[in-house]
Amino acid sequence: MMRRFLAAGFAWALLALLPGCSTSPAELNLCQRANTETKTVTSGDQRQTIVLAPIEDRRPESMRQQLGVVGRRGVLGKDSAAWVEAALIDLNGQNFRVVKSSDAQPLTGWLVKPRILQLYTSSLNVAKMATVVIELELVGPENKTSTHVYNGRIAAANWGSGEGEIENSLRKALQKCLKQMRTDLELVSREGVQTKT
Amino acid sequence: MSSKLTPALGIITVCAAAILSGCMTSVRTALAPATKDAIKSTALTTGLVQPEIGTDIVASNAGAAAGATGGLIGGLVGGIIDSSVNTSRAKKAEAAADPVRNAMAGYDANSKLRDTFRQVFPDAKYLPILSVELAPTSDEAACKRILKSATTDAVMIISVDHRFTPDFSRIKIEATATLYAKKPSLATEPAGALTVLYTNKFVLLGDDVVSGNNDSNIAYWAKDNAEHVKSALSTGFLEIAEMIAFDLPAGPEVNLPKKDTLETTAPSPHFPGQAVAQMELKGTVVHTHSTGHKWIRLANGALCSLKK
Repeated sequence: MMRRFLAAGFAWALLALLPGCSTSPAELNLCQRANTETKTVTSGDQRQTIVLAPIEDRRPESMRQQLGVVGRRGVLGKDSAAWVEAALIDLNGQNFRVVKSSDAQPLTGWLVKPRILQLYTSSLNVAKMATVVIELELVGPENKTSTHVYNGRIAAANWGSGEGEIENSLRKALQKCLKQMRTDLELVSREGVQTKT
Repeated sequence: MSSKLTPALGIITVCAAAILSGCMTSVRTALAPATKDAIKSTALTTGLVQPEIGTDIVASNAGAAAGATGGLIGGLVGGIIDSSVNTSRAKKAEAAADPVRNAMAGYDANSKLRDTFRQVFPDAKYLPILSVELAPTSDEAACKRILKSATTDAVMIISVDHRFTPDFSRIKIEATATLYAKKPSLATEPAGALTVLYTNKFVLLGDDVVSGNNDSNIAYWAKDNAEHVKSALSTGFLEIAEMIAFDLPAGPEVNLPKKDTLETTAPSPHFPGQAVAQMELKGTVVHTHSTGHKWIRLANGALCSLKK
């Protein structure tokens, strides 16, 4: 009985080890749903409109396709900027709604200029990390501007450097950024832009 | 932590320790003069392992070591404990570094690295380096992609890692430089396999400019928009590039330790991890840099820079 138990344990452990030994790149499909639909603003919606400018990617161009390395696996994510942009478009609150600049006719409300500063994964010993850093420049009435940096950093145990767990960590890191942004945008919608850099 | 997955982590740790313990061989392959003469063009590609400064931990292996005395089961249990301890240490180290990274938001370390290499390598003249570009370099698939698109005789790939030491007192920069054959006449390996013409590892241990506990060290690095880190990286990237340029012409004989062997006083917690754990901290001082750093040729051929 004990032998059987041990044999099953070893078999399971070997299976668990195999993905961890893989050196083939982990190809992520972050942007599963491209946000192409046009948002229509209903006349009864009293929320502040926040117009989202096209996203600017500040990472070096040749480094955007690969989102770091976890274990020995390179992490590939071709659509990472589109993924962040789609998440920002979906960022609505009690006091504000976000619309793409192409959907806002006429262009009224606050303008948000998003910039990706960092978006990568890494590992240290048996832990894996995911990092998303986004800067938002908010341009309010009379061109009053305010710039904020949002950091989403996640560190967790690395089970096997699998696509699913890496993707999950990146999503959590982005959610961390979005949570901070929502709080700030709610405040801005209620009280206006406070000049702060 | 899910209890059903925990054993896998333990086994990974035990296996990793076993694999690393067998890696006490030379890390340097010298570039043969005849091969060097046959190379008429080289493309250099570099990139950081991660775009922001990394952290390090003093890895626990006490559990596995103690557990191994109790046989396989004991070793596995010990490995599980180590995995848990190491994950916790890594999380703490990462969280501790947040103030420094936040202070560096917008700083593009990768472009800084590329620009520094552009400044050093065309002047090194030992190899005809036509271009210095930035691309991911830290995994095998990325290196193969670089080689596939190259049109030069040879391709130099330099992967650079930069991180704090576990106590945040210093910044450590490590580089692996490898020259691959691209022109078929230079290749000695069968088609599809990579022919390495030259490779070596480089370690630069920055100055211990602060003292105190982790918190005060981090506060030092984070202040003034992390100017101290940016300055340390600027000088560090330059010195690493100069170390590689210095090492390229050296023949295979430098791998052998000389009589006037220097026993470095570097404390072992500053040298954890795979690359440096392979190096014996005994070597020969081969150069004194303008920063006052001693360049030490280690017994395995690697070149290490530190303040003696």
